[in-house]
Amino acid sequence: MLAVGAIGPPQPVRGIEKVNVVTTTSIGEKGAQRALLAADAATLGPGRRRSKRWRRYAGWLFALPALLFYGIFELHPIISAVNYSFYKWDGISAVKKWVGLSNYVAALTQPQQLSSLVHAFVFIIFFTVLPVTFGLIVASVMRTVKPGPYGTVTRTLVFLPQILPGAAAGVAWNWMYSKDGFVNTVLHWVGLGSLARGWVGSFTFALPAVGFVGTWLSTGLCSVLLMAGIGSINPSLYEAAKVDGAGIWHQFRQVTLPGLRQQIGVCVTITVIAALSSFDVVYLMTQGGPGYSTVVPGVEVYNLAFNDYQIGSACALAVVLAVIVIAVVAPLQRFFRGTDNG
Amino acid sequence: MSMIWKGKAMPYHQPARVRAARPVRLGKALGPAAATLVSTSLALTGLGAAGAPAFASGPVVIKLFSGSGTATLNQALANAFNKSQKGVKVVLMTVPDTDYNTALPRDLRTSSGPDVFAPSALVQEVADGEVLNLDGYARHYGWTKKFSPQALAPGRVSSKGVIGRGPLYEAGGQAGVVTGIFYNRALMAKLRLHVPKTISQFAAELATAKAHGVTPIICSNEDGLTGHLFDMLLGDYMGAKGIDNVIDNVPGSSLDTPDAVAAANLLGSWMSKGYFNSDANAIQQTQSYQEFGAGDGLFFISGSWIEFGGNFPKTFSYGMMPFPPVTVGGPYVGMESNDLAFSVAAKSAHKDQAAQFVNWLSTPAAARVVVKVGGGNAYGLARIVPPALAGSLQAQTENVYQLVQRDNGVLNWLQNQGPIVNSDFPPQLQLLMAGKTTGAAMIQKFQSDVVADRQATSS
Repeated sequence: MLAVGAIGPPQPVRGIEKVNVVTTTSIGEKGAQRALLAADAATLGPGRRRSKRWRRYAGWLFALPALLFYGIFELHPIISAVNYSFYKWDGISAVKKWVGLSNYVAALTQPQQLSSLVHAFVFIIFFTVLPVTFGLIVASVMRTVKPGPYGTVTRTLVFLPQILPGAAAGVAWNWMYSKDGFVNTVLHWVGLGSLARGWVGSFTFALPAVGFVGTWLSTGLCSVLLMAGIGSINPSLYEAAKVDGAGIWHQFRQVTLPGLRQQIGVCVTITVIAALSSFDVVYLMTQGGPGYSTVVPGVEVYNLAFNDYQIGSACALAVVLAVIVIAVVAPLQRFFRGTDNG
Repeated sequence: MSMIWKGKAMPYHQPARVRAARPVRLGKALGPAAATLVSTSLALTGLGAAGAPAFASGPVVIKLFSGSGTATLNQALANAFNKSQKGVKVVLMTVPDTDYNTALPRDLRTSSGPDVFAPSALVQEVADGEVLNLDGYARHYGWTKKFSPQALAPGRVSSKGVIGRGPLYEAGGQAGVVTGIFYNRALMAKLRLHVPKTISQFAAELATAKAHGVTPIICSNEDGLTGHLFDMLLGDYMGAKGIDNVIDNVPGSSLDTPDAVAAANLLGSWMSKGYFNSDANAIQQTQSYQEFGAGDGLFFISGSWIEFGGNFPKTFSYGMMPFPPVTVGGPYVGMESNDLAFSVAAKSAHKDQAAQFVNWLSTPAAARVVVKVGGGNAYGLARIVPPALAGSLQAQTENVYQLVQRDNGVLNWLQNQGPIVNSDFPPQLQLLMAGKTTGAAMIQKFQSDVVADRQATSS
């Protein structure tokens, strides 16, 4: 909204004092804007009023290119996907057969599609819970480290996985998990050779093995975000806590955690979305196997659309996934924003 | 799933349903202005490059769709064609192998798409009206006289989506790779084994290897490539015709037969007996090459494409033998791809020239390119001998190709029946490997996929 108001020919900022007055009555940003326009209009002559209106539309005009792109590349595909999800269609032929909700019924009842949704939620543990936990530990430890080369190197190393493409990480980890790979070599070194196996080929371990790559990828991002957040906590709070006799745990619990709420919120949101919509790592590492043990919605959607030529089913599952992502993320957002003032 | 069965994406020679038999359209051959003028005469005379109209400036460019894995071979074919024919130039339009099946249908819909291509799903593509009916060219060039009906059958698709009947949509020559059993020569000699004459002799050799601490079969199953073995077992037990009827959607054909279940159960029993490398479910084809090349196992069941591209160390010595029949003297079966079978895009602007290239593919000159560059083999180029452990790998491969041809044992991959069964191949074989499904349950699953695939292309 502010951007719209800011665009246009330079105008005398006549309404500003009034706005200040209005905003302090805390009717919210939108209300303030409306008040600004009304106040402006009231103080201006008829000609000015027209120019004011023009200014309003001019703003939209400037936004038009972006809106156009948004419409073509975001809204249109979304609407198309929802539309396709009600049809049986191979993606190529001219004939589309209306099947109503049956694609949605399949997405929520077919064992393979349903299990993909379950796996996505398991991934939240690996993509979100573990990285945020590790990130908090790293950030808390790093806070006590004095600025210098050691801290810089550590920060860089921790963040490094984040800049790797998931596909590259998937291939590299596949090598590490292989029969003669690094993981099994280490197991042999420490005398646990009996546990060595082809990890991504195991029905029991493939999902955690793939999930752990997600942990490795996300931990860097979470650590850096949380380190930045922890730096902005007023050091005097820690001093005060220490004076009050708080140990490391209580400092963490009473000062660090509340101070990092917003950052944790960002971490959780980003990583939950990454977990639910994961594709690259899984596709590169297991393609959903062995059996169907690591099939996630992203892979299943890809398979349905591009291997099975069932565009309708693929779109239905994608829509279900999108709804789930929103349903999970929206309350999280509310939770982390709601406690913002507290 | 992006399965790499050989260089390119899976050699689908599968087809399903045709909307309607379409007349050969020869119109748009030379651009809008010239189209009307020349179309009739081209249609009647079948003028190709040799008789290219004088007003065409420069050669007509024909785009040949190729996966990166077969690009070398296709480029060699294009070069040989371009050298021998004037007025037409074949150029490659190459995509990564993993994109082949997804890129092709989309490119075929555009006017800037390929002129000539190896179908990724012939029935589907025919049903979508993307493939040119070649019957007119077949008459003109005399393909129907040159080749036996069986040889042309894989390129025919009926209006009901049955392969082997109806108009011709894919043609060319007969040369390509063949599947069979590769063996580690040193281990074979050490264990004093011979070319097995039957499946049970082969099973006995697997047991012998296991007993001597040698991994009997090296295979990758993350990509479901135990499927090669499974497909050949199906061919053995159901007969080449039996399994191909299922793949070709012949009405009434079903995979859920006692023979198919017996084949699946045999494979399952070999898996449960530990005849495969323990990490089979965790590795893909490339890693399986490494393990076999390192001498980790006795047999490697795959196709002759593995012989090319430096997959194994130079010092590693291995041979090839045909997959044994059920009974002594029974027919040898194997999957053979045809590197010389191509279709013409319905949207091609140069259909006559494209057909001219397809016709050239049926000549011995083209077959020789496949043998020399593509690692393929062609029928009738060498004398057939009884399979033996002695002999060069190349001669053995050539012999396997011809044995399978001679016995009418050429199979298609079951995965080529349709995309759904193809998608389910790796996970089902992984479940079988882990003992989490039975042969009968797996066959039932594939049969339901076959039915779903048939419904998808016939509704």
